[in-house]
Amino acid sequence: MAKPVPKSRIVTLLAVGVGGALGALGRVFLPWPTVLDEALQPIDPLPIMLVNLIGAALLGLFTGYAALRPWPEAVTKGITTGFFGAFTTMSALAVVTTGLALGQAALAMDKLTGIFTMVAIIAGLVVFLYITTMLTIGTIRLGTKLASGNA
Amino acid sequence: MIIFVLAAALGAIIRYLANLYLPRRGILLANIAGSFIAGSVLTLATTFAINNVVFEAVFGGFAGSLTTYSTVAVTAAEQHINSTGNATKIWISQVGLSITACLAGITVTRIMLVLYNYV
Repeated sequence: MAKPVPKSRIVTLLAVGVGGALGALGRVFLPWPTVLDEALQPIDPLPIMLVNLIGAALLGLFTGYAALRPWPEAVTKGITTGFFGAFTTMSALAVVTTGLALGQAALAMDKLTGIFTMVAIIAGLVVFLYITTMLTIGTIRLGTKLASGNA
Repeated sequence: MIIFVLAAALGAIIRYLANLYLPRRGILLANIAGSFIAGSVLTLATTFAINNVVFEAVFGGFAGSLTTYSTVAVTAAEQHINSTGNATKIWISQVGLSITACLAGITVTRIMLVLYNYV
């Protein structure tokens, strides 16, 4: 038997849209600290790392908590897929990693220096992903614990 | 600001629908597409004097909302909690392919600019 086609409710779509807009506004227009000049803002790693780390941790907390709460789909999707999904971003992380690696390669006077810097950038990315995963695991467990305690 | 808000809302809705109708690959496809667009738009912005409002709407609003990091993080964390051993695979595919897509966006755009004598 064919799988039934999932239906998207208009209220959920609107909630995701509103949450997405708010999340993106927070990501782009809040005064996040920077390490590079304004001209290099698209490849500044600090704002994106902060936004992604904070967003992942808070989404983990909410996910753990909401798993034990019968909230309406529009509310949970609006917050998770909408707000946190748009607050954090993979495209900016990709641009930052690419920009820093390519920029270093282009600016390096010595090819070896360029390669070492590229390796350092990738190693830094791996460490960041590891920290994100561990932090998110912690917040999911915390959210579940809080929801169980308040049940 | 209105353009940014609408672009961001659209990106989030498309990502939601991609995950709804393609539950196994939707987020990955959204991340790849958004990263390609981001790389492409950034390359265009370095060549042309793109209006800052338009740039922010497309780069920060649409591409930024179409892609997501937190959903991937939670998925990877849940895989780790359930001891399925897939957390590393998830990060490698999501981040690796997103960076590749970004590079592809930059490269394709630069080739088009050279072909049409803008560079």
